[in-house]
Amino acid sequence: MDDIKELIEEGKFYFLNQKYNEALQYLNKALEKDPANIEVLYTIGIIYESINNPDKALEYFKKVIKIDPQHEDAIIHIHSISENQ
Amino acid sequence: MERFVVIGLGRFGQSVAINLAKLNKNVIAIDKDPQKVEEIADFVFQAAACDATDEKNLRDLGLKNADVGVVSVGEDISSSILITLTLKEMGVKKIISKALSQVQGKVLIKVGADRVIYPERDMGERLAKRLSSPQLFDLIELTESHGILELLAPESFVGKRLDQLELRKKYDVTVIAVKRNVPKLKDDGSTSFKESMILSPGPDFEILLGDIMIILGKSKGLDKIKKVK
Repeated sequence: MDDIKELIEEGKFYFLNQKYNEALQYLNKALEKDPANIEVLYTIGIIYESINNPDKALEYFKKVIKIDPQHEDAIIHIHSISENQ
Repeated sequence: MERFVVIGLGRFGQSVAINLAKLNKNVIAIDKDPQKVEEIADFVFQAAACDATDEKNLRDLGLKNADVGVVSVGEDISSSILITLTLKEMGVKKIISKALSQVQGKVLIKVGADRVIYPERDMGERLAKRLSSPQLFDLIELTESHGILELLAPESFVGKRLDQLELRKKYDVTVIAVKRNVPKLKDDGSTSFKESMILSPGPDFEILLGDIMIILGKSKGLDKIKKVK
């Protein structure tokens, strides 16, 4: 699990530095190890939303609420993206 | 079924005609430029190339039963007045005429326009609203030949500075602002972002993935830049 945590940290680091493709690479590696990891799915959703790719963002936020239907932040983002489309 | 006649097929008139047709309205589109008429012919019920300032031409097209007339003959105010007057005399039930200034608007009302629209002024208001909202828009027409485009930065622009892109030289356009989502971490460690607006970015400004560029320039250049991958 430590490995996944590291990959997530790397992903977040690159995201915060606006290196989106690198961030997605690390997070996708994390996802290969744990396809149902909510933190990874949510972070990927945030990245896609921030780079104005709402369709991909929705795809990942929906994966989050499929696993955790009560995930408030994901629900808020789905709502906000849908409103703007 | 309501019948609409749109006279003057510049960008504005064309857009009105096509959008009315999309709403399944019966639209007759008229312009003296056959090329403009040809461009729109597939979209509307009827398209005709003729001089709309000649009353006979309008009568021949059977416009006297039209419900709504939209007069958008651009910057030629005398034609606009004449056509508005003619439509009124022919009994068109509602006439909407385009004006560029309030003085023009008042004259158009006097000769029979039921409503005057000011696309430039309205577009300015729309732009102000849009700039303050996170939604995306496409093209705002400022005049017949100039506009403002909001464009998701094409892939080939990403990682390049504005001076490297040479947009003014290649497309005769200027980037007036960039909307960017700035990543941040929330207190709980989860990721988020905040929308920011960078006004008048300098030549060393670097375009990043996901940037929304707000570009001012000639319509031709804007059309070209929209196609850049």
